[in-house]
Amino acid sequence: MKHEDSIPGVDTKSVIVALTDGIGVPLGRAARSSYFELIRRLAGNERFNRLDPTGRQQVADVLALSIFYGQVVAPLESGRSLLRLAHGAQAQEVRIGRDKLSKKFSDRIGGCVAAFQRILRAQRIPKEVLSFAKLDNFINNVMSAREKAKRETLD
Amino acid sequence: MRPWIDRKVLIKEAKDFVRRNGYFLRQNAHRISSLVEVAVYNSIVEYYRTRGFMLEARNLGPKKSFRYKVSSTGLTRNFSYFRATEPTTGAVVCIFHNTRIQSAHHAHLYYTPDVAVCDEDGNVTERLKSGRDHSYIVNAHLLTFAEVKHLPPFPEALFSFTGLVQEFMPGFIAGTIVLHPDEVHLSPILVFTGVSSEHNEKIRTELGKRYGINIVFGTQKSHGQIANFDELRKYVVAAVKKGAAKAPDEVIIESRRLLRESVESFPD
Repeated sequence: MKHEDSIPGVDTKSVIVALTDGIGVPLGRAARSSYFELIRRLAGNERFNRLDPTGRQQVADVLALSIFYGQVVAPLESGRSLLRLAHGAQAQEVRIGRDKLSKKFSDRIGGCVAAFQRILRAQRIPKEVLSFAKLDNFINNVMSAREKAKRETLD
Repeated sequence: MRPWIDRKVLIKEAKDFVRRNGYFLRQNAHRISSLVEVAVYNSIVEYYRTRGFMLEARNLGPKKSFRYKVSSTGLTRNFSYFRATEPTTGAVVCIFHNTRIQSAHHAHLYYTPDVAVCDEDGNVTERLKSGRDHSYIVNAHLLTFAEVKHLPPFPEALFSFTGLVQEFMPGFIAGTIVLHPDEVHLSPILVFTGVSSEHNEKIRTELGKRYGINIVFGTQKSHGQIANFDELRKYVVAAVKKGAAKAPDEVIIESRRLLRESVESFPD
């Protein structure tokens, strides 16, 4: 890992490696590349650097989940959605070039997506937090989710 | 007190996820990559469905297969598309992928976006003088289009997209288009599958406010769609638009004022 891919006091490796080690080079490399691109931005982000150490770690960990979601899980959800739309419109399968998206593939996708969602639920990470247009908004959303989880624990 | 995000558990669960699903992901990496391409098309179709449109798949192939057009060549009749009908008004839109659209400024200039939406009569197939057939969407019937870049955002692509909008839906650049969040039709969309830098985030914000277009980054994916649909700009499909007679000055000025007010209400 390059020096600029690290943030002092933050483990920027464990979660992204756990998610991408074993999913193959094409998917894994794309996810890691995007993740470390944003880690480099986080390192210089004022809002991020004002957070407490736990907060900084949580942002880095949720970022890994967010990137994994965008690169791997979201395309699967999208494929499933297209098949569902096609079935609803009287088509039985979808052909993309030589590839065929069938019900069997859709069911397998569903299992994968559901497994990822279980990880989020177990950690009480709202799925909405994974989507963002601006990094500052992402940091704010993660911290809001943390505060909400704290309040729910106290209640 | 139970911590929010137990890292040890998270890492263990992530490894378990890969152990159970890694083989499937490795074996289907190529398919998953093609799903990234399909995701934009799917998002726009799903968008119309969420707006209450009834969907119908047209031009199905053998065994009722929906044949997605992966390249810019080929006639419309050989590939499938979705036709969406609004049940109360009867309005129809057709959503095509990799289908040529006609310029707003010249009848014989075209470009092939990744996704194009037109009204019912929009897509035509004509015979050229060479004897070959050629399918395209007539500009007057074009409702929107989407361009996908399988890259991180970069300034040249961001600024260049305004050139495409100027050529094919110039009302957005001229400021004659009125945005409204309750409208149905989406403003033209540029989608990047990669993550952005801070500078490109600024460019996105500025171009979106200035022209009323949609620029979507890879991190905005939500529920398998390119973005939360509420985040996308929509516009009023008015009589005064591309290809029609130029609007009187007072209409343009009023449209620009409304555009300024409407973009200020968007969450950028």
